[in-house]
Amino acid sequence: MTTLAYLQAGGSRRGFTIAVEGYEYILVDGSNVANVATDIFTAGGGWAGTDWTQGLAGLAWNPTITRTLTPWSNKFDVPTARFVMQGGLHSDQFGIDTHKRGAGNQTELAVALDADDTTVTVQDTGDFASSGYIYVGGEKIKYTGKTAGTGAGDATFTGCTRGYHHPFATKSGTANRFGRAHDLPSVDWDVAYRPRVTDEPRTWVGRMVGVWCHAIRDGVWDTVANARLVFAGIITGIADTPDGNTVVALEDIAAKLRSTVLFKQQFRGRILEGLRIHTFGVDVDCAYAKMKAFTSTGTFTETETAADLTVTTGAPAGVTEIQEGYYDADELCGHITEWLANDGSIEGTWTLEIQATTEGDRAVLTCDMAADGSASGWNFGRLAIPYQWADFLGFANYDTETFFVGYVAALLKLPAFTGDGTGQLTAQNPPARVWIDLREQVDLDASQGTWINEPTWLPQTWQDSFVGSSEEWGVLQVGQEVFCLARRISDTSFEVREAKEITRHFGGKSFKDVNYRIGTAEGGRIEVRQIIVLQGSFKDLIARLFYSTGVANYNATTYDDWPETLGAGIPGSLLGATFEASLDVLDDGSVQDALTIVLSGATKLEDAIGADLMLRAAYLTWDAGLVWATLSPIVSGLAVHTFTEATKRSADVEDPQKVPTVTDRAHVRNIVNVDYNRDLTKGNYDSHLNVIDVASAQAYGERPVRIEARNSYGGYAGNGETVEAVTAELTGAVLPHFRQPISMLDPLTISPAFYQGVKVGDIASITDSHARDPSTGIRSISGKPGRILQHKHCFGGHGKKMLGEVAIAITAVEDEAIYSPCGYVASYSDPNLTLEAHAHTTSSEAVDASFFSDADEVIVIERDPAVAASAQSWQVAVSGTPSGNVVNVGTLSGYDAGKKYMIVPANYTTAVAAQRNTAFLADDADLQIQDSRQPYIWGGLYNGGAYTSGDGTTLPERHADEWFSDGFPVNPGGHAAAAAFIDNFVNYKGTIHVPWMYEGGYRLAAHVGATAGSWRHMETRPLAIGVGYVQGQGPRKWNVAPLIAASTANSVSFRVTFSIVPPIGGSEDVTFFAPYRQLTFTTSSTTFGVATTQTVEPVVVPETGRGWVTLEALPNTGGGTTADAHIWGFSKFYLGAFNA
Amino acid sequence: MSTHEASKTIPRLIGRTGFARNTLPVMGAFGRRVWGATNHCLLYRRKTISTKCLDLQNITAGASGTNVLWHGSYHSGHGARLLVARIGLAPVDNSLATDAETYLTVDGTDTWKVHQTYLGLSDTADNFSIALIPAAVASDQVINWSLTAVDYARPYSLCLYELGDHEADTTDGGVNSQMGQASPLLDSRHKQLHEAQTEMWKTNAAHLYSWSRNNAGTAPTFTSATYTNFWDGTTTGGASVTTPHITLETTYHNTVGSTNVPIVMRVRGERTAGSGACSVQLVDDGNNQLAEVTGITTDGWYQTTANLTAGTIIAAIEAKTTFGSTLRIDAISIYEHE
Repeated sequence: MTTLAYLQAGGSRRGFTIAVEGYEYILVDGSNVANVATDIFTAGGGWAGTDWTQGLAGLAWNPTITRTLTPWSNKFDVPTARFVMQGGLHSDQFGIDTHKRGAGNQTELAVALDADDTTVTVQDTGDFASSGYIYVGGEKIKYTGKTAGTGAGDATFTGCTRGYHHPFATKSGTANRFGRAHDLPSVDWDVAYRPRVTDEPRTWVGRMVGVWCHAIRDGVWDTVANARLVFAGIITGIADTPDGNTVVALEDIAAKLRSTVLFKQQFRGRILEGLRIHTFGVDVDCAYAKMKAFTSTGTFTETETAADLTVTTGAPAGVTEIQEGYYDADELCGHITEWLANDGSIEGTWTLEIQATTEGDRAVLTCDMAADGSASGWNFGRLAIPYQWADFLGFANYDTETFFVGYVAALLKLPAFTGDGTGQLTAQNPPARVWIDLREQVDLDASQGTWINEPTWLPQTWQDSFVGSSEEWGVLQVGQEVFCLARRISDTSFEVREAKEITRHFGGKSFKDVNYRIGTAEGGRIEVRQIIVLQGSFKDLIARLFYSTGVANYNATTYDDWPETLGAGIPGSLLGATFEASLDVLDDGSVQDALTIVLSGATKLEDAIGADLMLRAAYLTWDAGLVWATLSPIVSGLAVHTFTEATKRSADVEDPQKVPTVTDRAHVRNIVNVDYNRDLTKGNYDSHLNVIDVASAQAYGERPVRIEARNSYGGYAGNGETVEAVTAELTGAVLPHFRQPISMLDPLTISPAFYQGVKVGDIASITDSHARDPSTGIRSISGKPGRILQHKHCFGGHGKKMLGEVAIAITAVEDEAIYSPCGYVASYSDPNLTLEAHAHTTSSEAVDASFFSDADEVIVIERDPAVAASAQSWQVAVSGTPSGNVVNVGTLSGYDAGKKYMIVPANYTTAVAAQRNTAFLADDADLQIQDSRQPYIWGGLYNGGAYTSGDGTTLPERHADEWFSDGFPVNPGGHAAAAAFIDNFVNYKGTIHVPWMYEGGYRLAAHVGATAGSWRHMETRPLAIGVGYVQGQGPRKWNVAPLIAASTANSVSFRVTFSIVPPIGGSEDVTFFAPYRQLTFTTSSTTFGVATTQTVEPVVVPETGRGWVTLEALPNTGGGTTADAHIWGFSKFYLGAFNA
Repeated sequence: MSTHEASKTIPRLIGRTGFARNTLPVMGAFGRRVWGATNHCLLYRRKTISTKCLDLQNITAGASGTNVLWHGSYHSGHGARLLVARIGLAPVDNSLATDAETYLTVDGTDTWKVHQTYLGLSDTADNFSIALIPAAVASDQVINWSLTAVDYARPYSLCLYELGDHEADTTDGGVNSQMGQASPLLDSRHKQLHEAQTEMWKTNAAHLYSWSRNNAGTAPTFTSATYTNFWDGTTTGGASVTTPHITLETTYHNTVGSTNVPIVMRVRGERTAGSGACSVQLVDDGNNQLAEVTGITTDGWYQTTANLTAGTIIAAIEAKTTFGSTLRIDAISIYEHE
């Protein structure tokens, strides 16, 4: 029996122990027990067998701990507590230890520490023992050796055991060990204070503390594993008191979440300004000047041409060369002017320079013929430079000219002028400070912070489009307005890519929107900042935020794989399976719960996810570990506690313990305002949802709640829909509970049996003689369900009385209900139906048959009938109490063992009274269930536990018309079938299936006439896979297998390319535009065979579901190994299931 | 009637065991997911009926006059609104062309036409263009379509797919997905859901295979009285992975009460010479007949229904004639439908 079970059974012999992170003593409160400090180490009990061997008596643990579920709050509930070590009565050891804050030897950490590093590198180890313990912050580290180093910060402590004497542990690691990460300052302006490493503990505030309640039976303390963890927290203060005691103030462990700041060391840098000119890529390698003309007809005639200005990698040989590199506008203009001035083949004096104009700085191109003196007639001057240069300098609306493939020049035309005049052309826009081309590089002159590589957490469509294996990708904000995907080359160099979803997402602009010009309107430095975008299921993201320590799989498998700066690092032993299961109610795997967390800078964890928690009615609370609560339906069937007169226990013996019923509007909300589509450039929200319950607002006054959904973006369709869907859920499932004043039973006193194992959000059944029944107004309720909104307890002792109270919300009308039971028939042998044990329960729950009782009226009805109106069925009564999986239903005439059947209650009016408190369908015409009862309603949120995602492979079933008749039981069979249909249809039944073969002969790519190594373009056909964003689910893939052969036993290949746009080019080596994905099939067999199936993710436009697939062939043109490539078509060409 | 917007985000797997279980409350959240996902499928998870592409190394020359090139047939799904043809167009290849046009004909009604002019361009990727032609269709019925080229127009590729409505309309198969904690559990909304899903299972499943001739002059013909592989015209004795065949992937396409996947096989053909009816069969790699379309005589569509056993099926299409007749096949269509 655990301590919890002991307490719940009324046991009262108990003691408390406290373990403080990094402290070698267990603090013991057992004032009614002798020798407590040693008793807790009795073999087989207490803390025996742990790293601790010593206890300190004198602990007084008697705080009143209050936990509250505040319906409209997006803040974590952080109870406080305190304990006292009575140094005046017992040993003063604790007081001494906690106040010698300057003791021992010290050095500084020289290398940052991960949570599991076993070598600690410091400045010096000379003063330290050859083995022993060191302390870094609140962490105690055991070491077995040390090295002296060279004096340059390379001395080490070796053989380290991290997180020694810790009250908690990782999820499944060694007990009482939990290391912390210790960073060094990495940003220039950080305080250059490195963590101190000492051999005496100096840091107490901030240490974690665990408080256990142990049942003491026959003088033996329950083992710590069996004891009840009643509190986990963090020390916030330590005080020495006049009476010689040491008082320690604590905050609940949730305080660590509240104080956690994510993305503390945001990667940022100053962009290298100017235009990057280079000799390859989309920037071309030359520029031309062409001028001038003399004609009387007013048309341009090219008569003189300047020598090319050419980009070189090395030092320029003369004015007709310019070295690759970055140039600001002045520098670029200077080079061009110098080039033109020194070219003798064109007349006039040419200048290109940045001038101050009334509009601001502008590039001005000038041709002055006066100095020449020989000119007459009309002059037409034109300067052709790469369009990127022209854009950078601020010229716009220019004509272009293609001098050769790939080189498009901007023609800067001077207005015509005559004789010895001057022609001048002024740029329309100011010169840019930075010009970035698509597929180009962004270089920084310096960077700070830590780049976070996050390709697998970027939205799936972004991953599909750009991310290659082993590449480091993230999102950058360039200047104020521009957002892009970026591949890290180094900390000062990034390859950038645009995705229109990105700019839509954040309210910014694309490079194209700004004509690739950055910084014309920005003063100061132009910064580049990393923006963190994490998309996944709600569970995947939240669990990682809680677990992650920066060391993959250290704190937990699966959920500890983010950098330390993106996680709170809550010890896994405080989370675990219970915490993860409680997340399931917040993330059932459907689209609505997919989440995108966006961090544009250092952000408190609570702020980062607070709105998302509120949108999902999620409340963090405590049940011997952190766990999520939500607003469950207030239904008797969900009650997990029963409170009666007998369970009351007041601290005051004179207290009559009559339960007051309080009805007020404190929690009433009738207007929900949700702001979403956060504009990262301005920090405001572009979209708003308003849900108003008019009747409530008129009756009780307007009671608004505002939610800023900072992680939701409507511009990216998937997310916009998500916030709308989640808002619908909030307003549908939660708002109705609070549209009217809530009746609270507050306080309802509880006995110590309920001090533990009861958490806020739980549903309880209350029987009370004083509370008023909402249906009659008369005192006395019996079995009334209610939701616990507050739980308060104090174990008393040390002069304080015991206390236990709950505050419970009850509903006026009980119209939510649980499912009517359902069982699937495994077999029938007159008169017994044998049901499948757990078709609609989990394996740990009662078998389905147990939900039927003697004399129940039931329907046995055919599943998956061929004709909905003709499903075979029998209405019968259950005879006797079901035994195991067997239900006696009498004779079912015509039962067909080849069919499938299910058993559910009979319709409402036929069912017996005991069956009627489950859900039945109402007639929409009169909103009555068979004219006998008002309708049941859809319920609120509930953690059903045992969540398992659908699989798509569960087969759907066709309905029977009875499923939707007035009074038919709402049962899990029908609803599960409807869900299974969706899963199956999306993944299998409704997928795209387009194999093809060529008729009349295979197609071939002959080697004769083929260019060696060139792919012959054989076909490009459109594809459509349906509209739809992929969000929060894994990829789905095309399954492709061609039927191919080679004409000789030499290797030939076929390449299948999926792309958004069709390729361009000639008949060989067509050009594909990103994004695209390719599969290559190779054979040297002269016999046709189906190539091994390959898979690849679709490349389509989500808004249309459209893309293209191209087939190319590579015949073998090798000297003695020629072969034609033969293909009959594609045996397989279908879209597989997600995650298949 | 009520209309309901559907999310464009593809539904993730629904955790039914966490929601719909004995002892659990009936949760609005679950209802909204299932009803909403049904509307999504109705609107956006529609079938692709046909894809086709000519050999780009050897695209058929354009021809004068009006030429019906490609044929096809399918069963429009529950809630279908549009049939969309996305067509790749090769350059008009004859300077005599004055008004080259390409259009779709759906159940005898011509769609609007895509016009091209002669530009003297070669058949390279640079010179191909794209057209998108929508055609209204009624739901849940057999639709015959054809693609016509006029005056040297040269379509070279096609993808034909179905679209649902812009929003789910309860009078046209959509389901009312507005439900929350305060909403009653109503018979009508369950009726909408279950009927829509059953109809979708029957009519909205994957189209399994489409084939069309390239043009009237190249439709394959058969004269053998022995079933012969449709694509290579020589192989007999069923499907083989070394001869032309298709893999029909119907795993998990059946219902809980049956291993069958009901299909329809339609063949457009004509007995062009001789007498007696001609036949086309679908056969597996054990030479087991899966479906057989018989009685092909005059030009037109012929069909049969059959049940496939859910699974991965290596299948060949074979044709035969009787009494020394000749069978021309213009199009074949195989789709799931009950």
